[in-house]
Amino acid sequence: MLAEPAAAVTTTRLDKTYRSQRRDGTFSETHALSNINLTVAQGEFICIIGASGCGKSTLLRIVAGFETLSTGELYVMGKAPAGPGPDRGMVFQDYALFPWLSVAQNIAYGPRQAGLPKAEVAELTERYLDMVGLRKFRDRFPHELSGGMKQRVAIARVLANDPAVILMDEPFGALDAITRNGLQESLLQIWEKARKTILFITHSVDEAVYLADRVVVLSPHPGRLKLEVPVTLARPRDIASVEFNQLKRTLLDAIAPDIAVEAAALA
Amino acid sequence: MDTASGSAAATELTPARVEPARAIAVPGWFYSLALPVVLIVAWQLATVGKTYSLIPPPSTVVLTAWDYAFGGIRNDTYSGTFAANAMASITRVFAGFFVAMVIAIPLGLILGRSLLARRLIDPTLQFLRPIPVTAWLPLTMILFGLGPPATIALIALGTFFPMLLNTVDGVRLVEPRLIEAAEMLGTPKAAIFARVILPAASPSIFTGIRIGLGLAWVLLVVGEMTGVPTGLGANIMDARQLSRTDLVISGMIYIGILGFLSDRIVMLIGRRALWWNPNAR
Repeated sequence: MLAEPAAAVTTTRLDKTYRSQRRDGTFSETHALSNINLTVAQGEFICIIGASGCGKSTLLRIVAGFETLSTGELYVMGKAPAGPGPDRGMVFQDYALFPWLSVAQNIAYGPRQAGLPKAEVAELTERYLDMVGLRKFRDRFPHELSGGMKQRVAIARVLANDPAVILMDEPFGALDAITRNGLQESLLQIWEKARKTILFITHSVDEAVYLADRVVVLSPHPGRLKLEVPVTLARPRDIASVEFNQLKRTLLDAIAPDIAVEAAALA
Repeated sequence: MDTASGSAAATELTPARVEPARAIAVPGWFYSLALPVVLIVAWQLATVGKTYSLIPPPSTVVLTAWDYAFGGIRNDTYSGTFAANAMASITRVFAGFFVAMVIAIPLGLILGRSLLARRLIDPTLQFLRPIPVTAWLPLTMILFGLGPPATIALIALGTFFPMLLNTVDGVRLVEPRLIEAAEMLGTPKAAIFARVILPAASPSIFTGIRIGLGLAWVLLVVGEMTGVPTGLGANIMDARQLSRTDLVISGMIYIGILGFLSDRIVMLIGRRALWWNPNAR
């Protein structure tokens, strides 16, 4: 028998507590994530949703290596990562493109850091420029692009590193509805072509059900894994279908109490 | 019929579509020149032919300015001396400015990145900074004597702080996201500074350089007023003692032009180097 292929991402009893020092010298603790056990298969598209404060961004940032976990274990492709690295590409909501580099140079940045030969860097750049449909804009600078185009560059920049996992932190949250739909379609096409593992955070239940193989619901204070819902609907998905809306209902019901608590706290 | 009323409506609408402003084509520089021309004409009218006027008319100033630059009109000690004096002044401006830049920018980069360096050095700098540069003048004269070195030291002191502070700010205010992006794209830790922080901070560093160079010209005049024999600032002060107001104004105009030109040159360099920055345009 062949050994079972390693999961793309595994967290075991993952816990995150922030400690901050008060003025009087004592410490206050914020329990951000509690006992997160999550296994993401290779090539799987996971959407993570939850009310604000549920720690979904923290979880993603821990996987990315920008933050450390307090206790528990994290494995990416069977290895515990030490700090950020090109095997885990991050797509930020605010793009974080390098403004002094052109579109093509932004995409070439990762392969250059990897020390690939020039010809290979050029080839990768062309391939991913094409994949996100920005060939015509290769020499433009980020400030000359629309939000949707910037996010396409950010996705291409990450893909050029051939990462094991793509982490997306509310990537389409700042975009208008039409641009967002276009990017969702593009992302699904890219995902089907490249078969990358994707961890995608969103606050939109619609977006989660439309994109994901599996939707993970976190609940806040502290962030816990509340519900996992597989989405087996065939793609392209009909957002007006009964099945689609039944899944939405399930997820909305799961989030509703957390949102009610938040609303009460604000009132 | 329908067509007739339709065309009638169309003709009625046509005039409203013509923008009246388009009819008169006036180039932008025309507006820019209007105020100076009015001021100079008013100045000429107010001063011409008045023997005891404290201010000479612009026509006299123009002649003096020409004579100062090329000679051949007044044939006094200042005739044709502009180039030599300007060279002396420009040398001092850039000497002081470069001394300051060479210290301020590397120090700013270190202070921006290192908390330890900030703790060690920043309080002292914050204490020194509010002291007006002109208050340093007597001390620089004591330390460097009367002459060009004191002027250069004064320029260096005054231009140091704007360049330092803008560099520190530029480095400290680099988007943490950009550093994270660089890390997740595989940038080696040691290379983050050169590949992300330096380019991201460069617009702010450049602003400091521009402010510094502008200040250098201000401080030049202050510095040259203290017994330096050559230079445009020295000429202005000497001309005042000789009641040569025409020469005073000529010198002012020339300093203004040189300051303007040096700022333009720095701007051009900046635009080439920071072409990607929409705010630099």
